[in-house]
Amino acid sequence: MSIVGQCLVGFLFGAIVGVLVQRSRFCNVAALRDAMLFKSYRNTKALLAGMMVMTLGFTLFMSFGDGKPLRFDVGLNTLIGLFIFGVGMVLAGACTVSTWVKAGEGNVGAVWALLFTFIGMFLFSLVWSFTYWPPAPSTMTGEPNLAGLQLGLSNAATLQEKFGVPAIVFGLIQAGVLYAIYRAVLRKERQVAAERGG
Amino acid sequence: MCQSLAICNGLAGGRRAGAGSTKPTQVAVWTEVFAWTEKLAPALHLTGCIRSKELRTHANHGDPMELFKKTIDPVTALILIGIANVFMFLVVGAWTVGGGETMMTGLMAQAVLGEQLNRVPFWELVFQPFIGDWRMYLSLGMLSGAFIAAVLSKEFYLRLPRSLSEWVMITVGGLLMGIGIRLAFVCNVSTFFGLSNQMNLGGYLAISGIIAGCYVGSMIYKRILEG
Repeated sequence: MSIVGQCLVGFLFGAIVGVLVQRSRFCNVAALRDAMLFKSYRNTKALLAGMMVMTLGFTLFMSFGDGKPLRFDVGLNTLIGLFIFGVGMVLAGACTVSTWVKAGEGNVGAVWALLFTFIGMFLFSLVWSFTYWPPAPSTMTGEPNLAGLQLGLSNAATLQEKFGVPAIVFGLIQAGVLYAIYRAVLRKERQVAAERGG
Repeated sequence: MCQSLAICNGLAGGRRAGAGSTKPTQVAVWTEVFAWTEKLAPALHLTGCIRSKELRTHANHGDPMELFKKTIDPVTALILIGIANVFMFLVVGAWTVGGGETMMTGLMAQAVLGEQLNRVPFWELVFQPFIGDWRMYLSLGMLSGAFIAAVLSKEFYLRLPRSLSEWVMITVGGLLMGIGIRLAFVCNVSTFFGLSNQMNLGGYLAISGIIAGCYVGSMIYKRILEG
């Protein structure tokens, strides 16, 4: 596909997401924070439902060798980075999606958060260097580098090659686990509602 | 799901009443499809999103603008996004936001610093600023989609953070988000809607990281709100 076509597909998908997220007021931060702080699960349920659909869809296409799975190494930097991100998104009150959506709604705070996300990225890129930053040299090669705290490369497509089991099998297992969590959340929600009502 | 189905149903209803260009069998097929989705819904525990009464009122109105009059159930919205994402995964790749934001950072830095930017290895070895990156247009699409939806539903107005502490929290939060994305190479979108759904090991690591971070963040947030 040509570059312009790719950009158009991206823009179209983004616009659909923008409309749906704006109209449903879904927020990733709320999905996690509200469940922890206020025991309300409106967004958590949506997050789980979306993940179930995507797990089944992605792994189904991967079993036929279609699609464009992400390929990059995973390391402890993923864990630490997302920990920092998690703290940041609660403080900012918006994740990467909701900063864009809220900016579209006219929220100046979200534009400000977005601006500082850019600044944070740039500041961190100054620290990053080919020789200085340990995960860097190997992270783009696909070879595990334990010295750089890398844990290797794995996704449903590579698991499929390794075990000879179609990717959809892994997908079904994961969707099953997600569904169990979904049911548990529903049960918890009913319990909370009963407590509040009584 | 109900909203888009409602629109389809509304259109089908409109055509039925129209010049008769639609064959009756086509209408029958639509009715069959709706009946089927209604049967399917309770099985999926998504009863909140498809209600036959709603469908009927929409069929009478046949007004696509109904979409912008009330809030969509987030479960429905995320299922629709999920389906769209699966198809985009086939064409270009899964939904991601952090990559596009990095590209924008690179382009902005290039505009300000020019050739000087080449002295920072990151922008040469990992992310070369490139104007044709589809992920940037995905972010811009979200911005414009949200803007259009907000204008159509008359929800667009300027909101400012109320207090100084809120400004400070947003600033620090934004900086931490930017640093976190670049350190981890993924953002929360590619964690929840990309990596973990492609069974990538990093997805599970990233989810545990983001949940732990969210917990710590929530505690800080609570303390600031209370203190």
